[in-house]
Amino acid sequence: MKTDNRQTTYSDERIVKAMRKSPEEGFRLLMGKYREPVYWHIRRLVVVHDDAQDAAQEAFVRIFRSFDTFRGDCSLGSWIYRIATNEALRAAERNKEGHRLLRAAEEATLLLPADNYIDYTDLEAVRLQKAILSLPRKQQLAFNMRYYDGLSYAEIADATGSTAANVKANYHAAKEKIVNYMNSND
Amino acid sequence: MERNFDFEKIEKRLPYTVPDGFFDRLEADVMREAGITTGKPACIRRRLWHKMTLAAASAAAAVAMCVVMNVETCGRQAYGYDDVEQAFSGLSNDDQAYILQVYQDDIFMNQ
Repeated sequence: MKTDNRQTTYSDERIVKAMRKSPEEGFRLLMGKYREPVYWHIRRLVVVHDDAQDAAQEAFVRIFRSFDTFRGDCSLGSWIYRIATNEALRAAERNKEGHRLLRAAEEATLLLPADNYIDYTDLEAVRLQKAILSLPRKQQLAFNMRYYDGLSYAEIADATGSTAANVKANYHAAKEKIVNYMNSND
Repeated sequence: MERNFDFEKIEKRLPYTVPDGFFDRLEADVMREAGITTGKPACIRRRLWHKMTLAAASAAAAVAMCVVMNVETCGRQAYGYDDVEQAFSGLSNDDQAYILQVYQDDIFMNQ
């Protein structure tokens, strides 16, 4: 699994070994590698920083407490993304404020202070996120995890309970819809 | 208006930011909530423990060496007769008399 260059690049195998031998030490390695990817994955789904922070914290605590249930039948990354995705979707259902913020920002009907941690001046980036959030959930997830996180179709399938073929189809459908949206006048 | 959207132009740019130091705080909050008690990474705690153990062992070794060397050097240090006479003359009359009384029958000194 590709990781951002800023992350500590311990392999998943080493992290799993460390977790089994010494959960505390192993979990620090896990957090070192995944804290940013997990947060940004959640943030892209919920938009609002505070919601993403809460969901990311819940996700990591769940990962630590349920690590004994990880059997290795999928990659560690897929397992982590599955937990993170579930927490993100729970948060998104609880609070739909994030989508409203993006919609309003694009329509220039909302003036918000910078401390919302959203750069409303980057209109193209705001519009792209709105395009992604308007997709059906499975296409949204397939696109985000493939485009931003570089996960393979198989890894995304494991994380979302789908098949690699479906993930690939969802990804390409998502890309096409995004391009159409970005090129439209809406 | 026709647009020409290109993924390669926007790349992975997001309109989202985070507060300074956010990820370190996130990690600390997770550790606390998960009940992982110490604030220092386990690898740093082990290094500190090794350093402390090494320092204690070094101190103990140094003390032992001082004791051994002190015992050994006492016997080997060469004092001349003049040194002894000077030291003896520095004692009070009562102390000189006491020493003479104690050692006048000493079987090693009077061989």
